Amino acid sequence: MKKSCRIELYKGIHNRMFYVALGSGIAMILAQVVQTFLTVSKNLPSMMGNKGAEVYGLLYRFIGVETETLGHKLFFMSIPILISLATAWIFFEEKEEGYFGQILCRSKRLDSFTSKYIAAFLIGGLTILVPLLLDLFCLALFCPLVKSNPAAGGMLTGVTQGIFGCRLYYTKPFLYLLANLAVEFLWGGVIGCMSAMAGLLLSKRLGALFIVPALFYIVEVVMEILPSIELANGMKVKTGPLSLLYLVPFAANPAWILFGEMGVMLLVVIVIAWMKEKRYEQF
Amino acid sequence: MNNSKKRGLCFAVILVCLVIGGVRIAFFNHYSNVNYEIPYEYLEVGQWAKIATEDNVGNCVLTGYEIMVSESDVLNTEEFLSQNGLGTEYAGYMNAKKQGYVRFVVRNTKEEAGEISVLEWIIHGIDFCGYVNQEATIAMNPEVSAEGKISILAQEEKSFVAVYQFSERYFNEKTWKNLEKEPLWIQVFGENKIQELAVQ
Repeated sequence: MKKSCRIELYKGIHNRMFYVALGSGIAMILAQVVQTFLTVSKNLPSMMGNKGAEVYGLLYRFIGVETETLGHKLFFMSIPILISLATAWIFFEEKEEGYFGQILCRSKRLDSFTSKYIAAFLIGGLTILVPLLLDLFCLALFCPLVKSNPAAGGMLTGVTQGIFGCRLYYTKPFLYLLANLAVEFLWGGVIGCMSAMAGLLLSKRLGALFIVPALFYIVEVVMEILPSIELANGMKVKTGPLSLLYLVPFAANPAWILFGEMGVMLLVVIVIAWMKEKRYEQF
Repeated sequence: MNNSKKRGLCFAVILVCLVIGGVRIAFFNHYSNVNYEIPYEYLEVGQWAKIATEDNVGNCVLTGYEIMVSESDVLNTEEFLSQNGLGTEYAGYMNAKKQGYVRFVVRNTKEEAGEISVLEWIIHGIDFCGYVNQEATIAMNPEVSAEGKISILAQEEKSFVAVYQFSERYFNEKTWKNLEKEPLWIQVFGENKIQELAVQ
């Protein structure tokens, strides 16, 4: 099992489409970094030691928090496509070429399926995590590590009560950044598993590649059209998957909704994969 | 160049970038002479805070003013109205379920009369902030003008009450239940520092 996992991961990471997805993600991140650099270098010197300097700080400018740049919008919109490229493609090809069928004949079915999905989870997670880490590193070169001011923070960043990790953001910013990255990694993993499933199940390449992104966009649009969902206390919450990918949406995203939605998606993947494994179809 | 050499070269390049970047980040944040973060000073109830000469609050230049919090409370709206002896005519101003009540004392240390705004003092907790309920605050302070300003003579001390309204829908359930015990501050900008006046 360990060995097959390692092999699957190796194949996934050395897949051409993984590099394409990673490269595209990094390009968007670099666009965000350049735009941020132009803004910060122009305005930060006049803000030194003044109230409001946190607006040019790392905590505010990190792509997982800010909403202003083109890179941010492109990156979070295209995450499902990037992950689908990185995972669905290779699994579809393996199935089409009969390679996966060969593996199924020669090893334990459960192990083969499990290792494929574990690899897809890790590859999906890496497709998001690597660009985000790069963004954090590049921004830290010119954005000061300044704590956010809660008296202005809500207005400036949208990190208010109801937003995931709100208290951490103001009290332990580094822990918040870690939590933010970890959740994004989990999101990547979940989308990776969904895309892998699409790659293994569907018979058309385009369908396999675009079904998961299409589902994300359609559900997001439907959720935006429907009336806002409110909690018992009247707090408005975001439930669209694309909105939840970004951890500071324009409404609350409490942890139970965030992880609940991820859990449901993962559960659907596990159930379908389990059913397929039981039926022992070689597609 | 074989694969292992390529990989080694790649790792070396990444490592060098990380080291150079790390040095730059450390220098930028700790060893350069530039202080990007304005220092905070925490003051208890009853302690005076000098307001910075450069800062404007509510379009009043606050040169030579000092301010302190003398008393405060967070109450349900009904409790708030009855405790302050306010009639039902005030209830229209208070749509939120809880009201914060902060009594400020302001001192004009200048040799000339002036005025300051009573509406711009933002209250905040660890991860939330609240604004003055303008109508209720003006209604509760007869001396305050319709624009929300209070006149203070030279060397005079005056007190005013600011009312903050807290709506349940902006709070987590846990914070909302414990709002009366949550630490709250009023932020006052001093000279090259932020002064946090403890409210509770």
